[in-house]
Amino acid sequence: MSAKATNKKSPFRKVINFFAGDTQGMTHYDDPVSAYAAKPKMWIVNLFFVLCLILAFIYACFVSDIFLGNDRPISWDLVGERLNDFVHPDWSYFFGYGEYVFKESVVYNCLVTLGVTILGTTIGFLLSIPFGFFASHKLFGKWANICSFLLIAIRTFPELLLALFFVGLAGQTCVTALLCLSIHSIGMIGKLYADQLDELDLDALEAMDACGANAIQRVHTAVVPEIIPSFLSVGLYRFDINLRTATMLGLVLNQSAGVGYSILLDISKSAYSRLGADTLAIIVMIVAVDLWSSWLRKKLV
Amino acid sequence: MLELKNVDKVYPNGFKALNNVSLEVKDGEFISIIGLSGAGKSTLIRCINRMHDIQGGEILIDGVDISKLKGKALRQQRRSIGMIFQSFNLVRRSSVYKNVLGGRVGYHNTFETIFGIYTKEEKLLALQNLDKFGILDKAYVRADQLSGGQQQRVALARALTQQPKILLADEPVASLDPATTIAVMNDFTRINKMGITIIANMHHVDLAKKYSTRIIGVRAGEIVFDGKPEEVDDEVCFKIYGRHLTANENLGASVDELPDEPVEGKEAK
Repeated sequence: MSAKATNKKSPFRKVINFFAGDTQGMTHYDDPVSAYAAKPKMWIVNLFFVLCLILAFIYACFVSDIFLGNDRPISWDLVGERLNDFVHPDWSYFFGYGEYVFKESVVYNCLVTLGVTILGTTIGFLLSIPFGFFASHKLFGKWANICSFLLIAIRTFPELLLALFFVGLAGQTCVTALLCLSIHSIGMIGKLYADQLDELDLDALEAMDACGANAIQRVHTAVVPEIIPSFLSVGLYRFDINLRTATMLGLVLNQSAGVGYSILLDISKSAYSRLGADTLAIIVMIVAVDLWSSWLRKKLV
Repeated sequence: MLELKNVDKVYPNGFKALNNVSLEVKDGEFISIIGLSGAGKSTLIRCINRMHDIQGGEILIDGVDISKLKGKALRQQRRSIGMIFQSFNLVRRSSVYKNVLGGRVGYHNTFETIFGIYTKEEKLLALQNLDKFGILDKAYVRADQLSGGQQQRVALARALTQQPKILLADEPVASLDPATTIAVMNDFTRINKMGITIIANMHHVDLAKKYSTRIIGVRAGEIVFDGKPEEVDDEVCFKIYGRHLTANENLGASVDELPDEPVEGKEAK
């Protein structure tokens, strides 16, 4: 190979250059032919990763005994009966009349879930703004590492695990659901905010500097107006996700945290017409909120 | 009066951008700085309001050395120096009016800025300045809805609202088309006639010769020419650029052909 390095290179760098090409531009090529010989050979790396994926898939199939089959045969009669119950929801349970009072109804439980989500997302949204700002490398340089590490630490725990932790703190109540939603939201939204701030084109900051603005004035005048719509949009998106999470939190909490717990109860009692009512309500609620938030987000940006 | 004494600027990577630059600017001058890309034009401009720190020498503005100032004193000095950028540097999602009022933040504390407390005189001043550049109608339009020439005028109005003594301009017309360029240059002349000193980086030599009262040539971090526009001939250009001028460095015949009056703008009242 006639391409020769103009500076001393470590063997490690040589390996990278072989696969990715000399992205530093430190190699001198005598002519196009030698440059062609030194072209990146990324396909080797790509092939390696695809092979790894295929091997992982085959391994997963074997360890999960997927080919061994189910040892409990499916009773189709039972399935039919339950499916029939499922598509005929218990309307008195749904709306809370007849043998049910309103406080036991699906509608009421859904409203509780919605309320928990609204509160949890709002708290998380407000608290994640300072976190996001302090985790932005463009605004705070190397100090941002402290905050971004904190955000990573929060994000390490899945919502359900967080909820289990907080059960010890506040019991199986809606307070636990609130804590869990808002703290997990801080981890997720804060990270997105920091990323958005780092991507922002900060020309205007320079202009505000030249006007004689101090640190807070320049952020307030030049950054806040540019960032508000995307911050709100992220908050709304998180509201969407939190609603699904809040439904799921019923698995570890009790009735006071919303509709999720009812599902657990329905299944354990094999009450499939009530399960149908709960499922219908959740679908309607989530679809409605999803449509509303995407409509609003389109308006914002 | 602005005075630079033996100014040195070394970038952190060791590149020496300014080498022993001395310069004296009288009030009311219109100075164009010309030179190749990387010669140190932008650095020179940015050292004057201390967007860049200098490593040696002094920069005196009416006797005060800006390179020694810190914190509040520096911010107060900066508000008397307006600055115009090549890419306008407006807050794109804010209205034109809010952008122009932004020029006043140096005169207010943090609390007042956050709650938008400006005096009526200041608000009127912002609108009057918009009127001077003929874009009063666009006052409540979002800044990113305007054309390039209009955005640069918003930036000019913002700088004027600062009520500066000196206006620095870093390649103010480099991203504008020829017709708009002429209009904006005429705006600069008008600002100059108000008694504001202008120091501008220019890419086009013919523009610099037509509009400014004094031309400074920079090459490799040193001032190699300082004189009247009439004195800039081929020989001087060769000294500044190290080669004869290419078509690239002239805006072209349009400089002489186009009318002196602003194309879109309106005369000052």
